[in-house]
Amino acid sequence: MDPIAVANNLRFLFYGYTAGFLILLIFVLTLVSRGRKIDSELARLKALVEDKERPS
Amino acid sequence: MREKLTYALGILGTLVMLFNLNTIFGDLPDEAMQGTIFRIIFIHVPAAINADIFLFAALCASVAFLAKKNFLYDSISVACIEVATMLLLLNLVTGSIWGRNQWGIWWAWDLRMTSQLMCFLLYLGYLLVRPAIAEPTQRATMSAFISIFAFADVPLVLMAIRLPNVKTQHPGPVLETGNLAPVYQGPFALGILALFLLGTALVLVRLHQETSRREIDSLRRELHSF
Repeated sequence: MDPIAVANNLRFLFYGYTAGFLILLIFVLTLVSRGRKIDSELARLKALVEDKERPS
Repeated sequence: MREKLTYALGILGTLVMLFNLNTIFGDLPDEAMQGTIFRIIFIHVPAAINADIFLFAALCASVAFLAKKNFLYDSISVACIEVATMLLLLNLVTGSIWGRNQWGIWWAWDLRMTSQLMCFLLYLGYLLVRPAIAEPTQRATMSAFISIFAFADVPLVLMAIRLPNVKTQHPGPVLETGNLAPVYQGPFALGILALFLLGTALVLVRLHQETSRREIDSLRRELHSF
């Protein structure tokens, strides 16, 4: 293989793995951020229900 | 227990992946025809195989939901589909990059690639339509039907490179044709295992979120009843 083809191969291999891991990372970060939002919403609603249930 | 299992699977999957990457980039020889770009197969194919495994799990969960009306099955289905859709995207993007290097084009409208793109779009549609239905039972039932309908595309993707009279730009199945040299088979299997472990951990995380979301729905209903 000539040196230009080798360099081209390496460049595209780098693109491939970078794109792959970026997709995985973005998905994980999206899950984490969504999880935090759900947890805080759940805590807020639980507090609201407790407030309503408490005799005034 | 569930949290510990999620962490264990995630850590194990990451370790297997790191070990495999070390082998892929450190020990494996370049492929004779393609050179070093061949190494993309160790992420491209495992992503597709795992996507199909999770889509099959989602299909089973969807059928189980329709039969038993248990919302746990709906949660399993959506969790599996979300992870599988991410893996399908990973498969399409890495395949396109490989194609640009090997064929000189980013995309070819052959049966294999088009059906895989269609599969990705069908499940993306599922994920986009689902939140638009507010009533939980209706949402889960509609989602189960869409999931079962969308799975019809998966056998087409699998058969696209195996049909006798169909010529595709996409290479044939490497394992079945015996074109994968024994030296590459270990890292190939480990690539599948690593993504499976990571994918299962992500499904468990997503499953927990879906359970919390159902709890949010019931708390909202409770608040409205006061």
